[in-house]
Amino acid sequence: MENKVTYKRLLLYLMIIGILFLYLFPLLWQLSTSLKESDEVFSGYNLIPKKVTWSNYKIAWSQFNVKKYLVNTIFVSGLIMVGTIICCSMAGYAFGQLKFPGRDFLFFLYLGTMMVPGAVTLIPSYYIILRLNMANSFAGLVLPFFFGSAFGTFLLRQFYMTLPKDLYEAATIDGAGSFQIWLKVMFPLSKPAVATLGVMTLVQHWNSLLWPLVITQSPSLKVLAVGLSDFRLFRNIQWNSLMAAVMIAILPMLIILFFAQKFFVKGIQFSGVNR
Amino acid sequence: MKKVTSIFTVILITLVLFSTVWAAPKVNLRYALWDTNQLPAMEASIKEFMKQNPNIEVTIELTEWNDYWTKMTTGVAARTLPDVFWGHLAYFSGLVSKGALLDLTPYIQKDKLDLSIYYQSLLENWKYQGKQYGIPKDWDTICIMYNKDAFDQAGIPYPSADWSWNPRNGGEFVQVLQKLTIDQNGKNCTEKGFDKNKIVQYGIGGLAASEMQTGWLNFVWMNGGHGVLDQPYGNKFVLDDPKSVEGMQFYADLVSKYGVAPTPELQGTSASGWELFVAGRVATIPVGSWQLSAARDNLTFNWDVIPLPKGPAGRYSCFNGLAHNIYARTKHPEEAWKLAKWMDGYESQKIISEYGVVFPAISSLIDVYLEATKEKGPDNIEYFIDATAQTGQWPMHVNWAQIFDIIQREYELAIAGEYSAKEAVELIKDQVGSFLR
Amino acid sequence: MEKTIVPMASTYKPKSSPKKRRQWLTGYLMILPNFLGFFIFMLAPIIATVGLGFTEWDLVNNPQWIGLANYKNLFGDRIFWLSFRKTIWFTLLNVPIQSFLALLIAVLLNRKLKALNLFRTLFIIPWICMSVAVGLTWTWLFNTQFGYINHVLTSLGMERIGWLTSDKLALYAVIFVNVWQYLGWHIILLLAGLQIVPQELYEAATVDGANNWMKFWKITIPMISPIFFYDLVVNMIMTLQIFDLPFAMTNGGPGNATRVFNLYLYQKGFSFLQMGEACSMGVILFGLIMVATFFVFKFLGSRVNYEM
Repeated sequence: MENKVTYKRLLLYLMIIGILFLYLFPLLWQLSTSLKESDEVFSGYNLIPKKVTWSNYKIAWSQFNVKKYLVNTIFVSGLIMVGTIICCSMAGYAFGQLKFPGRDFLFFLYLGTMMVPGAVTLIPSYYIILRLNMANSFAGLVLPFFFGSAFGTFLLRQFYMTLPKDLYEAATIDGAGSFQIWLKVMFPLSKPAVATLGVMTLVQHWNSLLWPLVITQSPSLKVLAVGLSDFRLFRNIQWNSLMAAVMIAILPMLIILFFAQKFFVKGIQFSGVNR
Repeated sequence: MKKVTSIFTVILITLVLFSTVWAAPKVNLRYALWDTNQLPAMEASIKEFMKQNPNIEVTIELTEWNDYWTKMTTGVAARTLPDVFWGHLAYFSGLVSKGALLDLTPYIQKDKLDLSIYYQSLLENWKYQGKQYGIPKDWDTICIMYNKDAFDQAGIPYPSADWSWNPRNGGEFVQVLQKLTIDQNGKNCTEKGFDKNKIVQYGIGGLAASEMQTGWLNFVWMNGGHGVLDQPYGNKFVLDDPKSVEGMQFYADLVSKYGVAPTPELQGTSASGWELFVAGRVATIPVGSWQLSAARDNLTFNWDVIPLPKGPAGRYSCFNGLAHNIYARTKHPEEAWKLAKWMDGYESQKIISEYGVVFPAISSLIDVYLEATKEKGPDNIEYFIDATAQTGQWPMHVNWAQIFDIIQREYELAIAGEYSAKEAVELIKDQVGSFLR
Repeated sequence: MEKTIVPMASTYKPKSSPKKRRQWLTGYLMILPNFLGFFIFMLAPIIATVGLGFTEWDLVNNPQWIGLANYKNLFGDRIFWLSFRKTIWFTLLNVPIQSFLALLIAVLLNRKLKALNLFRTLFIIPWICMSVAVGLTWTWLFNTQFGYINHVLTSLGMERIGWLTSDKLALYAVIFVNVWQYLGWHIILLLAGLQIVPQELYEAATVDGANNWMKFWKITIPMISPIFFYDLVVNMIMTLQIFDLPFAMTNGGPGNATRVFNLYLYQKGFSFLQMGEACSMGVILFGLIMVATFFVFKFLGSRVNYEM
């Protein structure tokens, strides 16, 4: 009996590992190609390179300008993340804990726009940025997203609503104003929700393509997604260096995933259930 | 009060963060180009320019060819075009029609620029409705580059300058390419037991719908076709005449019928044809003269160039040239003109010629180029110069971006063998109508 | 796993006092930055797009009112209908395959596994990678001459296949990559749904002699049908807006094989500067999403078991 159970368990594990290997094989192949020398790229199909070389990473880093793209991406997505966290926390708190006329109407307005496809807002938003003279600048990349999203406000509102009302009442008795209650009491409590929003925002804007694609012109402003999408247009594709560039582009997110796994899971569950 | 202050602090910090890109002491010019090969030469020339004009700072922006014109189009609307940038005959009229290019005529007159040193045909090309929008920078023609070692291994002689092709059976051209298409057992594609799934070397590479200049348009002309439009800026679509279609079909057949060329991968790229040539996976490749410097730097085998094979109507090569354009809304027209004038002027073209990357538009400088590259080859570089004997011109139209997008998409599938060139051209004709007005 | 609930805030009853008023002010001020962004880059653009859809506009000159001409042009445009069909087909294939596959794997993972967290993490990896990056990786795998997939085929004695160069196959190849990339996302979501199914139900069924397959159909499916239904709807809305992958992998090619709706909209707007038509396409896409969602709710929603 005991044996049978362990045997089944083993089988299950083997099955899952098998599926995972197949599932992640493209990424393994990408890693493998990025470590191969040019001769081997077009001849060998072995997953482990015969001779491991790091020179592709060097080429990607300096010649392909990935260094610049990476710095830009960190700057842009980081700034958006910070802005989103601050703005959505404040708004989420106001929607969830404070009372003021028009609150529910505004909130429904927020919810109502969550189904609107990005293509609808793209062109007017672009025009607004043009009029603000921010086309082809970091400001143009960041501004439309800096003040947070309807999704983020929704997520934090849901969190603030789960906090007990007594908390607010108790703090009021101590003489604190609504803003201070948020700053001193509520915001520190919201760390898990903020972390969830933070990682979701970071991933979204790290990977975002369309907006940076239309807004930037100068190579010095390009983010990774745009920079990488240029490579597909290159007349001479060096697959090994290209795969190295791809590795560099996804590595930071992989590292964050492994450290903040549970916030990603929460974020997905929230966006799925509440969208 | 405290809470309000805190909120305003947050907003203030935000605003400060955004007010980054402002104020520069020097005049800063943005200079855009698309060719990596020419970058070092351009940098050298611009360095000299900045030395002579210490108050001007030039930032170079490199964007790959396929993305370049999309960026320029949006740049017109966004008003973010670079001050000075490489222009192309096919696209400059589109930019002019949107009011994006600076008319250089008054500047040329004011500075009494001597234009007689340039090839006059190149100079004419950059006129649109009587106004001059560019001073020629260079010129180029098309030849076929071949891997000598691959010919040696296949045991066939190097191609002769009067090799030819025809649309019926491909002629000598296809025969040579067939002997160069080899599977992993060393059999070529005319031999019995040839395994087309295990091809290690193709006869020719770099064939794609996007490769009009180095590729199919030449075959249209060589078959007696007229080209895409009846005349420069013409509104009549003439690619559907039987001769043109036959030429296009032959070009597609090299991939889908004869199997002597790999199927192009990825829309808008040349099948990474150049990479395959460098890796020794294709034995020949049609190239423009601007690719010679990349060949000198990267090829590890013996190589040379040969003219395109003669077609039924003779031999034609696309003849094209670039120029520097100036953005009409540039904040510094005087400085931008100074830069453009320098870049296309004698001194600068001399510096660039010494790098041996492009043939200079100033006719007397060709010797500088040839002298600079004498050691590095190729042996028969004069074929590129001979190719100017009979040339065709890149089609020009204000809506070229749209027209070419349609041509490329439909013809691509004909090359992949999904349907015939005739069907492709009919589909193209259907769609281009609304842009030919 | 916890299920997030959506409580509505209690209805507001106006009762003004200086203290209340201060709360109002704070409330408005705290919403302000977020609302400003929302208004300028969401609400106003939505309204503007509808209006601009009736104009001819190249961003350079002022918009010219042309009534319904954009819609008329689009409905007469072969490529518009082609991109429309491609998008519908993309969605029809992607959504069921992706969601069902995710459900199967979620069921497989839904037991007390020591390494569950690790497995979950590994399954999300493709989702956190940028589409452009994995798109490039897959174009390399799909490469006709040197790609790994064709290597496997030829070593099995089959012929090479031009995955991304064939008019007939390219769309399926991109759908395949899309299924792959977002599979993990759906697994995580459905796994959360599965974990709230009471274990006793399965135990009782086992006593009654039900096999695994019967348990799956009789217990799992009905119990998670609300979440699964939600997953389908979300998946549909996201897939109708697909852009990044076809852009990165094929740029709509070969020919028009993978030219989906948003890609054509992008080209209309930003390659050809036909902003008016691009705006009308945005409105049409929004309409499409509304209609599709309505039908899904009407025909599938009624079968969902909400009693839990």
